[in-house]
Amino acid sequence: MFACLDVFMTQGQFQKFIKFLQNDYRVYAPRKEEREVVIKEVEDTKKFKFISDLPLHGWKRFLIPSCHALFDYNKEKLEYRKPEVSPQVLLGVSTIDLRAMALYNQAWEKDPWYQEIKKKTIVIGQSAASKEKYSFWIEKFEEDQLEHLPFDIFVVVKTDAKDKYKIFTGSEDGQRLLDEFGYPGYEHIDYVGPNQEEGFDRRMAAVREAMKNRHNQKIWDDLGKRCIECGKCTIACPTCFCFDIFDVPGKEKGRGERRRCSTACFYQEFSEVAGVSPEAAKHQFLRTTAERIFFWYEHHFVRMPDDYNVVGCVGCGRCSKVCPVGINIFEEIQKILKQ
Amino acid sequence: MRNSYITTSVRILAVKDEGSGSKLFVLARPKGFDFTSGQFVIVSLPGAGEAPISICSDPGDKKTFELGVRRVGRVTKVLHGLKKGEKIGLRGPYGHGFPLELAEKRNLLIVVGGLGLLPLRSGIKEILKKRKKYGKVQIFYGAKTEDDLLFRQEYEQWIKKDIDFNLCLEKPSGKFKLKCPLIEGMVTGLFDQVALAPDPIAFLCGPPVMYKFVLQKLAKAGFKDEDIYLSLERRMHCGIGVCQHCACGSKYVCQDGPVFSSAELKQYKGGYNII
Repeated sequence: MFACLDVFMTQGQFQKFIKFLQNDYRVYAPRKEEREVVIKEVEDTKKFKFISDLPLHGWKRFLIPSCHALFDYNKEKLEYRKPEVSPQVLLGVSTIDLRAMALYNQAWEKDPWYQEIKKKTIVIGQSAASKEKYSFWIEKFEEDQLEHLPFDIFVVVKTDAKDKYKIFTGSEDGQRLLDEFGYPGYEHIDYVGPNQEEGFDRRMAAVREAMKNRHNQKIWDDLGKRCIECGKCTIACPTCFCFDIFDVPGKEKGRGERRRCSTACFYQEFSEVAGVSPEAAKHQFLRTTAERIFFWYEHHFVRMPDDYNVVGCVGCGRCSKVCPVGINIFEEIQKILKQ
Repeated sequence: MRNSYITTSVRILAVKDEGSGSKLFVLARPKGFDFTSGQFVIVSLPGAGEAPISICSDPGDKKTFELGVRRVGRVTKVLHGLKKGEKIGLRGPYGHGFPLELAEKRNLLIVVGGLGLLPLRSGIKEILKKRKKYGKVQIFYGAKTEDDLLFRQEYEQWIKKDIDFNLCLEKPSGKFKLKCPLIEGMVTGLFDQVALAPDPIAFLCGPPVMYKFVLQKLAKAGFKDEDIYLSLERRMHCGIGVCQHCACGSKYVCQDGPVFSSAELKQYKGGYNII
């Protein structure tokens, strides 16, 4: 059709596309509010613009609810509870957060609830780079990154003409939606996996190697003195996903819910096991703040790459931004690399 | 889509009181449920929650399997209140057990303390069934008092089948007539009193403090790290290597363990103790 020339969607056309999507989906996008960039439903499509600022809390709550019922139980029997989510479009996901989604897709690959929600979710990525001062090691956007990012549709915002969008699809759903809308000028890119041919980002690979083989206890003892175990970093982090499973009895005897809720490895009971009797002292395997914060870094820089072959830190810097005592992960990484 | 958190209903066939305030639950074995010594299941008692419990019976028993459980918290308290005929939920088995096949070519030293005899009883029963297949088997069992002893009625049977069974009690009272060598003190004391079979491998199960001292004794006796296997305990929620509660380095106690070789554990150079 348009073999040699680049085809663009205008901002006006794209706003109409959002309105089209809103017939069947709830469309969520980042928006600047007084103090922060938050993710909310798009209200006035005519005012929609892509923004380059990173939303404070990322997109994980749209894919994994922070607390939800897995089952209803009746005596010892369990009945699967479908996740309550309406079809949704996540619009304007930065490449940073797309990399976090690549990790989530791996970690939750065998989870029926995540897969159910993912089936009802359309992801529209965008290229506008984050100007967040806490973000680090983020490369400038280039089109050859696209085959390593999971999305249904991706919008490249031309830097010299901010109202001209080059459209890519990464899935059949993406193609179907644009076909139904009536825009044929998209280019399709198949997802080949999260990593470039050369492997991980060499700086992240260096952090993993340093933490695995050249442990320096002093870094963690220092962090242990500063960290107050509030867990805000785990809430802000787009790749954190620890959870608890527990039961909540209902009104009728023998009936209730089994729930899964997000937790943080900084909390006291995270690694706690029972003592020799109900009254006896319990035993923790992570006993100090230094051990806990080490465990958190270890999860992202060592265990996630080992488990999923994907880097566990996407460099967004949200943890640094929310930390009440000012721990800056980029500074700590420099210390780890220097050891 | 296959759901790893779904449980099977299992009927309680019998409940017996055991030492250390524990109870032995004899359960009807579901079809297709196979396990090896050292594996565990997650017991599900909706309303109370879930808990990982090691299987302590012979893997070869076709109709039943057994769980030994001490009352230590919310879930185990409810479990202790259940009777014959009632049902519990269960999923598993999970994890990697003790490598019993290594004991076919080598002599075996089993060192247990606390409730550690529970998962190893599964292996001992398997050995007893095909005794000639295995080499020398020695057991060092440490407990606080006679009331803490697990499976007391079975020791005579084990000794009859050529198991070198040695007991150690911190505070013996002479309450029971035990027909086995008995010393007073900590289980490490047995290393000074009992001659070890030549070139054995070791299977250990007990609390972290026991591992610390027993590993020292094993090193002194010339054991290689790759010949020592121990079972770790952790808080667990998912049992399938996702929730992170049982993570140790890049391994999960629920999936890669609970049994690890000492060599594997010594490779870890990170910021906390694994044992």
